[in-house]
Amino acid sequence: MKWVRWQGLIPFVLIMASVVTGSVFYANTVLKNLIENYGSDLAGAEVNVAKATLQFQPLAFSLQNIEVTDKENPQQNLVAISELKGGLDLLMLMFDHILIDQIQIDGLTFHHQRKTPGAVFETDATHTKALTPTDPSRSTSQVKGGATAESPTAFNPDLPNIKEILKREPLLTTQLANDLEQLYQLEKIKLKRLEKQLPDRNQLKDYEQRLKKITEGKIDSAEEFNRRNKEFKRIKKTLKQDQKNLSLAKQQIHSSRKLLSKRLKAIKAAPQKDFRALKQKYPINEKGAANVSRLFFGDQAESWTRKALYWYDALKPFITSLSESIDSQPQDTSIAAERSSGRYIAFPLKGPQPNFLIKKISFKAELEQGPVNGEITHISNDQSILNQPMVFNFNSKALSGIDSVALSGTMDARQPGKATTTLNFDFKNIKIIDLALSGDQSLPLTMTQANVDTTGSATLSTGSILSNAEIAFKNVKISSSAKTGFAAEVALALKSIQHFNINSFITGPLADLDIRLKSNLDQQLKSAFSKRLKAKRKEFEQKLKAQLEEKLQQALSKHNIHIKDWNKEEADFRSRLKKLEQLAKIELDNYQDEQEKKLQEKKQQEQERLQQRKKEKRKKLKQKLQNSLEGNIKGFKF
Amino acid sequence: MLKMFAKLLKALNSESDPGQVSVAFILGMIIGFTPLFSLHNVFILLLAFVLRINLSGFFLAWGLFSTIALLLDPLFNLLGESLLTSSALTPYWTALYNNPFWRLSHFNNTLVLGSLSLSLVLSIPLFFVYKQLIIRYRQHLLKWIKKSKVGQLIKANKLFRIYQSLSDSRDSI
Repeated sequence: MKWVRWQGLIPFVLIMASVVTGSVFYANTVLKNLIENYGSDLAGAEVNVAKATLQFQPLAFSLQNIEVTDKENPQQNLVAISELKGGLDLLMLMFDHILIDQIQIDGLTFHHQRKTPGAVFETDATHTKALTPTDPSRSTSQVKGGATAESPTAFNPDLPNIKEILKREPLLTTQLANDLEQLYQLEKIKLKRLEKQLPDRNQLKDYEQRLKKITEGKIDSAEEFNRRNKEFKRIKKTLKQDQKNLSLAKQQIHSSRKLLSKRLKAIKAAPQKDFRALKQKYPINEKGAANVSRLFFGDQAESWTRKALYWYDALKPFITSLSESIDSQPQDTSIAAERSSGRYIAFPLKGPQPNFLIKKISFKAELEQGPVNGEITHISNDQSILNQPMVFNFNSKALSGIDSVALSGTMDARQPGKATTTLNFDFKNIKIIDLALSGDQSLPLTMTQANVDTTGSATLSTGSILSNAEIAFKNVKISSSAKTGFAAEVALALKSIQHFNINSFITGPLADLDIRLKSNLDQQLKSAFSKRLKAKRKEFEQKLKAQLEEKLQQALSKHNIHIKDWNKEEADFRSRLKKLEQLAKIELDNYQDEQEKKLQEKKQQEQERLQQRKKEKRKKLKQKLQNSLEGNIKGFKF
Repeated sequence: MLKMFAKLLKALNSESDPGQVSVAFILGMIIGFTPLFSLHNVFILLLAFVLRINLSGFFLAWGLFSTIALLLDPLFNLLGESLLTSSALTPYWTALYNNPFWRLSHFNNTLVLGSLSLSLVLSIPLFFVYKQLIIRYRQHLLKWIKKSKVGQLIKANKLFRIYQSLSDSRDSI
C-alpha cells in the first residue's frame, strides 16, 4: 500500500499561494486600518491615512497624508504629515517585533485646517482639560515674584485713596472713639439716675425760706417752739439725705469725668498707631518697582509655559502609552490573557529586543515661521530592554524673526513609573517687535524693539517640572502712549535701559506651577522710581495723618464738651452741697434756754442801766461838789 | 456536507486501509483542537494532502474537533500553563524560545502547547482505537445493516442515492 500521493502537493501549494496572495492584496488596507485605529486610540481623536503601501522586497512601508485631529479643535489637525516612509525587519516582524531602522517624515505641519471635522474619542474621564496655547482656563497664575503676586494696578504709583482705606480698614482710633462713646452713654445713665434724687436750686431756696421762717420770729409759747422744732427736724432730715445724694452724685461725676479723661488720653495715641499700621500695609516704596520684571514678563512666562504644557498634553497619550507598556510588560511574565486565545509566556532571551523599536525618525516640519529639522532616536515601548532613552533634537536656522533654534532632550522611561523628560533649549537672536509689556491702561508700555537670546533647561518627572531659563534682552527700545503721569515717567526711565537679563525658575506640579522671575531690570528701575516714590510716600503719609487727626478731633471735641459739662455740673453740685451744708448748720434754740437767755440779758441790761445811773449820779455829784467848791473859793478872795 | 459524509461512508465501506482513515481522523483532530493560524498546522495540512488518507474524513474530523475544542479550551490552557510554568522544563522552553523557528511556532502560548500536546498524546492510542472501530464496523455492523430492514430503508433515502452515484461514477472512472 502506498502512503504517499505526491499529487497532493498541488492543492497544498495552491492553498498556500492563495493565502499569501490574499495577504499581499489586503496588506495595504490592513496596514491603513491598523494605523488609523491604533493612532486614534492614542490620540483620542480621529487619525486618517490617505494611502498606505506595503513593499515586500525589501520590507518597507509608506504612508501618505496622515492627519491627526486636534481633539480640542476638531476643525483642525494637531499634526499632519505629507509622507512617512520606513523599512521593517521581516524576521523580527515574524517574531511579533516591530523593528524599524529609520523613518523619514516629510511635510510635517501643525494646526492646519481639516477638510471635514475629525471625530473625538476622548474617554478618559480623569483626563484634565487639555490646553490650547492661549487657553486661560488652566491658570498658571501662581506666578510669584520676590513679593506677592500683584496685578499691574498694584504697580500704579498714584496715591491710594485714603478715604477708602480709612473706610475699609479697622482703625484703632475709630474703635476707641466708639468705646468712648459707649462709656460716656453708660456714665451718663448713671448720673441721670442720681440727678433725679438731687435737690435743685429752687428746692434749696425753698429749704432756706422754710428754715428762715422756723428760726426767725418771736416764739411766744412752748407749743410754738415744739411745732417749729418738729418742722425744723423734718427739714434737717431731708437736707441730710439730699446732702448724701449730692455727695454721691459729686463722686460719680468725678469718677466719670476721670474715666472719660483717661480714655481720651488713650485715644490721642491711637492715630499714631493707626498711621504706623496703615503705612506698613499700604507701602509706597521701591518694592513695586522690584517686581517690574514679573509685572512685564510674568504673562509672557505664563503664556510660554502654557504653550509647553499644551504640547506636553498633546504628546502625553503617546508618552504614557510607552511608559505604561513598560510597566505592564515585565520580563518573563504574561503578555496577554484572553480566553480561547491562550496566554503567551515569555522566557529570558540571550539578546532581548523590545517589541517596538524605531531606531531613528528624521523629519522636516513646516511651521508658520519656517522649516524645522528634527531627529528622534531610540523610540521604543521597552526602554528597559533597549537600555537607551529616547533622544530628540530639533533645530532650525531658517525661521523668520529668529537666527537659530535648538531644542534637544531625552525621554527616559527605563525605570518603570519614573519616566523623566529633559529638555534643553537655545534660541539665538529672537527679534522682538512691538511686544506689549503691559496692557494695563495705567501703564501702557510696548517693547518696540529688542533682540533676545534664551538658553535653559527643563526636567519633567512624575508630574512635576523643574525648569530654569536665562533670557538676555539687547538693543531694547520701550515706548509708552502715556504722555503724562507716572506711566510716562516709567517709559522715560526704561528709555535709558538698553539691555537687561531675566532669569526664570519654574517649579512644582503641572497643575500648580510656581513661576519666579528675577531680573537686573528691577534694580535699574528701582533707583529711577525711588525718588519719585519718596515724594509720593510723604504726600500719602501727610494726608493719612491729617485724616486720622480729623477722626481723633471729632471724637475729642465731642467728649471734651462732655467733660466741660460734667465739670460745670460738678461745680454746681459742689455749690449746692455747700448751700445744703450751710442750711444744715442752722439750729433752732430751746424755748427755756431762750427765756433764761432773755432774763439774763434783762439782768445784764438792768445792771448796765444801774451802773450807768450810778455813773451819772457820781458824775452829777462830782459836778456838784466841784461847783460848790468853786463857789467857796470865790467867797474867800485872796 | 452530505456529499462529504457520503464520501466518508464510502471510505468506511470500501476496501481502503482502515489505517489511512484513522490517520485522517487523527490529523483532523490535531488541526481542529489547535489554533488554526499556527505553524504546525501548515505541516499538518501538508501531511493531509501528501499522505494517502481520506480527505473527507480529515475535513469532517477537523470540523468536529474544532467544535469540541471550544469546550476543551480551558483544559488546553490549563495543560499548557502547567507545562510552560514547570520549573523542570524551563531550561528547555528557554532554549526553544531563543530559537527563531520555535518562536514562530508560538509554542509559548498556553493554548497552542496545551492543545497540541494533548492532541499528539491522544493521537497514538486513538489511531489504534479508530482502526479497530473501522475494522469492527466493516465486519459486523455493515453486514448487519445491509441485511436488515433498516438497511433497506436507508437505500431508499437521499443520502444513499448520493452515495450510490458516487460509487457509480467511481466505477465508470
